[in-house]
Amino acid sequence: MGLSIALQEVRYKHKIALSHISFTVSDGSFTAVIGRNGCGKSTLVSCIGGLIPYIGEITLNGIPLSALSQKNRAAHIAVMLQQLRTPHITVRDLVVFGRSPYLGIADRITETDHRRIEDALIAAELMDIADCYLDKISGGELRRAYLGMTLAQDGEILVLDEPTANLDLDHASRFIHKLRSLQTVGKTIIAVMHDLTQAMKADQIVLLDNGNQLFTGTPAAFLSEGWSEKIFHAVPVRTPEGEVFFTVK
Amino acid sequence: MNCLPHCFMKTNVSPKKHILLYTVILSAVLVCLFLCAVRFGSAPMSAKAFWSAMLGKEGFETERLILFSVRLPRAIAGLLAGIGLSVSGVLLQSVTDNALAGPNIIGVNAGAGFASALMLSFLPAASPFLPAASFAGAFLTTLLIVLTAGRSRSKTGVILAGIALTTLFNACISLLTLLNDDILISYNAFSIGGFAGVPTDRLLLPAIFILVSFSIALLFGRQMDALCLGEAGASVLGIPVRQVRLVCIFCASASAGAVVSFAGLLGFVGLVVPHITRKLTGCRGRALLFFSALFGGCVTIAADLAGRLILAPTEIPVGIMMAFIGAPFFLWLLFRRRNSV
Repeated sequence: MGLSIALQEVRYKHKIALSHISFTVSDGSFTAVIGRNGCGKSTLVSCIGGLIPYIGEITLNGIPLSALSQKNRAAHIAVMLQQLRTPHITVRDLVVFGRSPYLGIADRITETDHRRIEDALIAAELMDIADCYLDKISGGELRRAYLGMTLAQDGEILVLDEPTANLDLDHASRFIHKLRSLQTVGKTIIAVMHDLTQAMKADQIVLLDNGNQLFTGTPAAFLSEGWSEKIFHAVPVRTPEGEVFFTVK
Repeated sequence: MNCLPHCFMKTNVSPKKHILLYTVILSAVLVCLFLCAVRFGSAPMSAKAFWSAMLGKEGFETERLILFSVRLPRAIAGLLAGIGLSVSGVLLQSVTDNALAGPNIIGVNAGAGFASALMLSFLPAASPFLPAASFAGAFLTTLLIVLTAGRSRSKTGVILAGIALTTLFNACISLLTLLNDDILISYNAFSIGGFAGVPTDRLLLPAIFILVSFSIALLFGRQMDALCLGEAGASVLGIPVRQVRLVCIFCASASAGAVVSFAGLLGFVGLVVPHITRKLTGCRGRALLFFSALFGGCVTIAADLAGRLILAPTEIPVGIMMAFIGAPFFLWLLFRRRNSV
């Protein structure tokens, strides 16, 4: 079942941002959405997050997302946006926000919420900086803090827009490793990515260009069909360990 | 890493203990100031006379009249104004995502003032409903400001729009005072803001407006707090951003409008109190609303008391006192924090 996306059209006033997008993300898989700047990747995230209107249908286990309440949607699908704000709040405060879908207006934070918050802080390696203010931490730590909030949301699907932006190679690699480890606890991951090398670690690649879906398939098929050269002018190089990295033509 | 800037965080006190500590301190200060505001004034009164009048003993009718007809309503007015404007300030700063927003800065007070002046000019018989008119003026102005905030991408745009609206409404009030001599007399006092001569019966409806708004705002405190993540950031957490904003606007307008109806265009409180409270306590959401209300009450009562005593028997209006006390204190806090970082 999983998440099924069938978008006919998404418009920003007179500009078509996405057209005829159709793919399925199976439960527990890791899908990387890639493409050049302005190809519609973040628009796709906004559609999944219910932030913008679209023509078409996105279903979760056969249920249209439009039929779910905003809270219910947030409890199932946790979205980490590309633009991360840095209000004067601590990392822990931010992670607490992740429990919002489960809290009514007058509800107090329960023991279960506290446990989830602590788990999220540990999973995102935030314990050391839990009491630090967002406007005092580095870009990479900020990404991790927002990942912590997304994890505290406890949705079965994580949608991450550019999760490795601002991270150095080592941290980016560890971040992807962390995402893959989340798969083992049943999380489904959809990540918008710029870094082709990191994207090749996904189970499924969705390639967008100019609002259209050019390719959907495994990283191996993506490489064998030569999409990296055609779209990114990047030549894949395979290391003896089997890892793939890219050089620009 | 040193990233715990708030003064009490340097100690090993837990956040729950902080909240208890601040509640006890601020409540105690508020009670003391309230009693002082009732006890002291331009007419000297001995401690014995004060307590005798308070307890209703015979022979202290004059003191009793002063206490219950002049000083007590005035102290209650100060308390309500402090709560109303501070809560309005916290809500407006959240909803516009702008630290410079305050009911007098972005034109909410002026809008409420214009609606009041309009009502006094054309419907003087309906003056008991002045708080409702003030609320309507404040609400429409806030709505206009929030729509501007939605269209303007810069935070400065909100402030500039507020300044433009304040100027427009003040010009409209001036025009009304020119056309109607009756409201000209009270316009000066109205524009500065003060609690002199406020009768208790005029405080009932504003009190309901302020306390109901405060209670609703407290209920929505967590959702309001999440607005700091931006509209999209809060939406993906399942927070109904538009509804929360509308509730905040409603409560902020009702509070500010209610205060304007009995205290005039009292400035500074709504801008400064939330900032000072935030800097002193480091709190957010419900705690910030609660502490701002307590601190706002302290500040306005203290300012009014000081205004009555400094040049007694001449009174300095609370609006002027607020500017004298609030501005230097705010600057001191600003520089103190900058030096400590």
